[in-house]
Amino acid sequence: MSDRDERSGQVPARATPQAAPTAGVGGPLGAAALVVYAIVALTGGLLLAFWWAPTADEMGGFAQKIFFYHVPIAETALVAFAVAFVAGIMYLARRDARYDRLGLVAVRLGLLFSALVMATGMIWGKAAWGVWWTWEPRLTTFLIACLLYCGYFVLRATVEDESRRATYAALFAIIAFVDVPLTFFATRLVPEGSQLHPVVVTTTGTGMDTAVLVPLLICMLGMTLLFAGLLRLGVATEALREELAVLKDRLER
Amino acid sequence: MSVEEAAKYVAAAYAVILAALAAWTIWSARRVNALQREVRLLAEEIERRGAGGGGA
Repeated sequence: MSDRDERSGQVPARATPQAAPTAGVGGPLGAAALVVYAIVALTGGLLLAFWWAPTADEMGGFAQKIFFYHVPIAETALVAFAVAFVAGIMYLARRDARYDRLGLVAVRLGLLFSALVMATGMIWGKAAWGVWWTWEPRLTTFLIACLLYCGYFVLRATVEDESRRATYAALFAIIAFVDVPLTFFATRLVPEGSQLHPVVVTTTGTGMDTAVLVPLLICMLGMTLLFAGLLRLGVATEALREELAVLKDRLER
Repeated sequence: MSVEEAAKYVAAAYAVILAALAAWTIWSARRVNALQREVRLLAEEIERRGAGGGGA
């Protein structure tokens, strides 16, 4: 880490108890607050989804209620990979370790949300289509994205040098992002008859009833806020781990 | 599929989501707290040694 004070041997100013790198955890836009806002939005959205939104028979009847968290989680997973993509570009441009940490945490959260999309999608698929899994475009491209981003951690684990690891990870996050638009547009790229996922958002609108759209948008907001909160928490954790390594190193000398 | 039968799938899906997200959030918060505590203790130890005029 560039903050190590090799010459003086003094504890750097930000390694003092008062200046530990926990910025992003407290405050009105800190991790804790974002998680609270997310819980409020997700609870509100879910209540509206169950008590206001009608049930669509063509989407599996009552099982369609899974949609109200499944879609926001999928959107959040793609946002997480987009954050890792931007962080990768920023790291290569500025060589700032903060962007490496941001990319690492974003991919980690992207995989968490992807795993949840796959799990809830399988449950919904079984209820609506009668199968746990089918090799249709959206599912297949999402699975490829999951496997690709698992490779991100394999890559990080195999490179010891911090700077090289960060560079390779940034490049990997940029290249792997190619699969994200493919996943998003998968339902539009192939004929409707060859897939089970519906095309929900088109150029002419969403085709959704207001009573479905409003709870969905609230849940999407809530899930995005939760991602933002967890992202800040994760970045603070990684910064603290690095700070701890610096302090241990200093103590051993 | 009846509403009762579909409700089992809906409950399972939401249980998976809520359990995973709650566990991740709690685990992350606890990890930050533990690391904060460890950083504070180490920084205090270094300060104490610095004030004592000696190294390790």
